Amino acid sequence: MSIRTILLVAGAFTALAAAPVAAQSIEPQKGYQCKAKYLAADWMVIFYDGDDPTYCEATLDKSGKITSSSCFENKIGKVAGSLSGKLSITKHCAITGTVTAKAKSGESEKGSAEFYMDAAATSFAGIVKAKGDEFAVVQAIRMK
Amino acid sequence: MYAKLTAAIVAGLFVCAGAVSASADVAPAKDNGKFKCPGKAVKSDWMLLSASGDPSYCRLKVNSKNKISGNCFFSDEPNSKSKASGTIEVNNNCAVSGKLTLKIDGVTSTGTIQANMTKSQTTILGILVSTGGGPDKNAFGTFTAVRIEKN
Repeated sequence: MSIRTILLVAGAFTALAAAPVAAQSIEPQKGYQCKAKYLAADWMVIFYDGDDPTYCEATLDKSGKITSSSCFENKIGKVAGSLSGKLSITKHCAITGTVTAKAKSGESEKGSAEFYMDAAATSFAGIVKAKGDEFAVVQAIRMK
Repeated sequence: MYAKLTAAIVAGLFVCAGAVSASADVAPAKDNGKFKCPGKAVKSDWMLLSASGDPSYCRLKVNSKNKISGNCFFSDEPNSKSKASGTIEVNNNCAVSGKLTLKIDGVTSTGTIQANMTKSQTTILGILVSTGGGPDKNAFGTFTAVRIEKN
C-alpha cells in the first residue's frame, strides 16, 4: 500500500504543534530563526495525494513528537486513522523527521517529511515522501 | 503525458513568474498600505506545492536576476522530473508576477503567475494560468511556495 493510500486512509500527517508561538516577529526576511518550541502546538494538517484530501488534527510537544492525532477522510466525526512520529526543526525553519500513518484497519506506512515553516510560525508546508519516491503534498496551520 | 501537462499547467505547478512587469492580465495586488516587499524578496530557493489536480511540487531557485530554474515532480510519476524555467518578480505591494515554463517529456508548456507574498516574505500564494502548450488555455491552478532559507 502506498503512502498516498495510507495517508488518505489514515489521514496522515502531522501535527506539529506548538505552543502558542511566542510572539515572533513577523518581519523576518533576513535573520529570522525558528526554534524547536515552535513545533509544540495543535495543528490542522491537510494531505493531498491525488485523491480526496485528508486532514488530521495533531498535537506536537516541544521535542517534536506527535503526542496525539486524529485523521479524517470524508466524514468529519469519523476517525479514519492516526499519525505518529517525531519532527525536528532547524533554525532556518526546515522541518524533517518521520511520520507514520496508521489506518484503523491496522495498516501503516512510514514516510519522511520535508516541510518549511513560515517566519511567523503559524503554518508550514512541504511533502511527505515514502518509498518509491511517492509523495503527498502537505499544508498545515496552527490551531492554537 | 497529456494528463500530466494538464496537471502541470492547470494545477499550477509552479510558478515562475517571469515576465517581469505584470502584464495586463495579471491582477495587481491591492495596496494594503501596511507592509511592503523588497524586490529581492524572491531571490531564494523555494519549494512550490500544488494540490490542484495531480499533486506536485517543484524545487526552484530564483537568482538575483529574477530567473527561475529547477525541477518539478508529479505524484503520479514521482521518479521522473520535469525542467522548470522562467522569471519572477515581486513589486512593492507584494504582488508577485512572472512566467513559468515547464518542459515535460519534450513538450513545453507556459503559464503566468498571479500571486502575492505574505508579510513575512516566506510564503507565496497564488495561481498559475496556462498560456500555451497545455490543452486548456486560461485554465488555472493554485499553488503555495515556501521559502527554503539556507543561510
